[in-house]
Amino acid sequence: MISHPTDADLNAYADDELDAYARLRIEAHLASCDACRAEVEAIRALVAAVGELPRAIAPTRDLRAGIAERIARAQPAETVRPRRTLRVPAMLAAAAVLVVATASLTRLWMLQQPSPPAVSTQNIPVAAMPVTYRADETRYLEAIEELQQMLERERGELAPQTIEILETNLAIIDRAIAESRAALARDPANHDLGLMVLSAYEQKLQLLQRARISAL
Amino acid sequence: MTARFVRTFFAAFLMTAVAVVPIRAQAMRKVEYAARFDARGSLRIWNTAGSIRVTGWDRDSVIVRGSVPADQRFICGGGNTGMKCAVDVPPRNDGKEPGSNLELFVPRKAQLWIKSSSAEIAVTGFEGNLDAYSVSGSIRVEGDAQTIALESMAGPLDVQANATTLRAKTASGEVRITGDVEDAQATSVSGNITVSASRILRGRFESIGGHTTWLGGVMPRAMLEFSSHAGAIELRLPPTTAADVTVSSFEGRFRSDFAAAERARRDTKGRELRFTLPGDHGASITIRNFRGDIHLLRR
Repeated sequence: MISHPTDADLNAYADDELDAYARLRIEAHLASCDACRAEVEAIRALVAAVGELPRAIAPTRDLRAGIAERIARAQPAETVRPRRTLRVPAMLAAAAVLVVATASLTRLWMLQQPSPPAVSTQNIPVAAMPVTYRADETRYLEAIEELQQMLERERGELAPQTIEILETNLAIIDRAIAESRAALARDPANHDLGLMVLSAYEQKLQLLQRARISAL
Repeated sequence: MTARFVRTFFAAFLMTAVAVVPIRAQAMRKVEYAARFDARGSLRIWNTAGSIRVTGWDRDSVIVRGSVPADQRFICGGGNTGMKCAVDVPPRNDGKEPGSNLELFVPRKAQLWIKSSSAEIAVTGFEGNLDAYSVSGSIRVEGDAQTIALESMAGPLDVQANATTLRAKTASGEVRITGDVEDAQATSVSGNITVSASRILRGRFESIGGHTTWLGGVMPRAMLEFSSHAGAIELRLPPTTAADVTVSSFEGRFRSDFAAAERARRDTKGRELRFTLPGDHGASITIRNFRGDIHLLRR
């Protein structure tokens, strides 16, 4: 009776290839479906088993060394920077700064509009995002901020009508985000609320992308 | 007295018409373009305002004809597999000038990409892949397309086509889906979504503030998901619908005239209701709403 996710979806979930929204939908299903949970565990076990195989079988002669030397001779030396890694507290701090910065930028952007938004989020307290969704939210905020900056640069290309539609709908989405975030902060274990918050972010991202198309 | 009045009025009307209409009429010029084109070639069309009418046909050629304002340039060119047709609007166009009216005949299974600001877009008899974007103009599609991707800011999106895949996204436009689509997704911020299609196997319909109405049948084993923040979600289902239903409502009201839903409501204390509308090969229906109402009614 229950409609299960497809094999492709379960594989993509196990491989961590799904976007946040799709991942949470699968997780919601897995919470109540033993068969699919077992399937995901089997896929992960397979991936783990593959991961334990030797990374490479050494050839009898090391051909790669010669190639590397030739490339090194042909190209000027390049400084290789060590990969920067952030510890969890630093990441959380960065995420918090990003949230505040994005909120400020959004507010500034809204204030610069010729007319006030149709609805306001001023009366809704900014709630802390539960840890489970924090990374996803940060990813959305980064993408949204990037798009808003692009739109700001291309503002001259947007028709006044487009700007009006954009700001009206952004205000609606921002209010929805604020309301559902506040509800999620009160009930952090509620998976549906998490989905709603991320869905609203996705809508905001898509709206900005759509507005940008009109400027191109 | 009356006859005199009518004569005077008619004379005044004629003088006005003579004074105004020729200016508009003279401002437009006819355009025509024809070229051989691959049956599955890729065609891109730009037209800011006016109308774009595309008809799919069973010939290996593209024909474009229409009328374009005299100060705007019509450009069309490319090769057998890729072609672009555009109306080049002079800078500082304020959108109040008359738009261009383009009528195109394209191979039925071509890849079609259309972009407009306020032009009305209508596509008929098309079986290929369609990607259309408009800010405020309407987009209407009829036919049997493979994939349909429509986006607008405020323009209504009207799909009366059968398609394998449909994506319809809008900010404040209305979305109407009446064709048969296997995999359908429609999202809006404040526009309403109405679905009358009956063969959707996978459907996701999301809105922030617009109302969502489902009037279609429910396919066996279909997966349907409805989500909103403040808009009402109304599903009018055939009485014989078989499905596992999950309803999550936070601040809105839930109303149903299905007995199973009422039983679940009596027995459940939380915000999530789970119940089954009995039958073979049941579908899965998930409904989430934050503060909009949810209606699950018999049709």
